[in-house]
Amino acid sequence: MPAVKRPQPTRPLSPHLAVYRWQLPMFASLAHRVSGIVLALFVPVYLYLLTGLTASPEDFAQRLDWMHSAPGRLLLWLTGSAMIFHLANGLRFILLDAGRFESPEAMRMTARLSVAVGLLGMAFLAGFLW
Amino acid sequence: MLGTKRYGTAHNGLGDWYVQRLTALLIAVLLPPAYLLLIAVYNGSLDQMQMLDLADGYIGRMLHTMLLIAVLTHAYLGVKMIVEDYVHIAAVRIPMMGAIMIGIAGFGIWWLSVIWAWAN
Repeated sequence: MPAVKRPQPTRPLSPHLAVYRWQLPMFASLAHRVSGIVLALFVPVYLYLLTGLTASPEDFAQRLDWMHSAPGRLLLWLTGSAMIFHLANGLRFILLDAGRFESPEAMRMTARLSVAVGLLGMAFLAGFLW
Repeated sequence: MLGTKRYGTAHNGLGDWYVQRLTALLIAVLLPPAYLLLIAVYNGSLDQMQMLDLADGYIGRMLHTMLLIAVLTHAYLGVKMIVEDYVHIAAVRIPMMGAIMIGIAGFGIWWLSVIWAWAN
C-alpha cells in the first residue's frame, strides 16, 4: 500500500467504518469478505467429514450423527448460508468487473438482490436443517 | 515501517485477478453439486454405498480434485487480499502469508490423499 499523507483534521481516512454512513453495497462487500473467511475456515471441518464419510460404516454413522447434532447443524447452516451469499454476490462482482451495473442505482439494486438471496438462503436452510 | 516508502507494484496483480475469477467460476459450477451430495447424505437420501458409488469413480474423483484445487487457490488469494489490506508491516505480513500458504498446501495434500485413497 502506498504511503498515506497525514490527513487534514476534518478529513477521514478510508475506509473509516465508524465515520461513513452505512449503505447496503458497503454491507454487501463486507459480508462478501466475512462469508469468504467463514468458508475458508470450513475446510478443516469438511476434511473431518470427508475422512469419516469415506471410511468404515461406523465412522460414516458417527459423522452423520455429528451433522445432525446441534453444533453440526449450526455449522452446516452458517457455512451453507455463507456459500449462498458469497456465490450470489460473487457473480455480482464478476458482472461489475465486466462493466455492468456500475451506476449508483444499479449497485444499490444488485446489492439488494445479493443480500435478499443471502437472507432467503439462510431462511431456507434453517427450515431444512431444523 | 518497511514497505510504505517504496512505491511500485508486485507484478502479480493481474494474474491473481484473473485466477481468482477463473477459480470462482469453476467453484460456482462444481461446488453446488458437491453440497447437494452432502445434503442428500445428511437427510438420509443416500447411504454410504450410494454416496461412494456416485463420488468414487474416476470422474467423481477427478471433479472432486478439481474442486479442491480451485477452492484452495481461491481461498488463498482471498485471504491474501484481506491480509494485505490489514497487515501493513511487511516483516509480519510475508511470513504470515508463507505460513498460510504452507497450511493450505498441507490441507490440500491431505484432501488429495483421502480422495485418491493413499491414506485410510
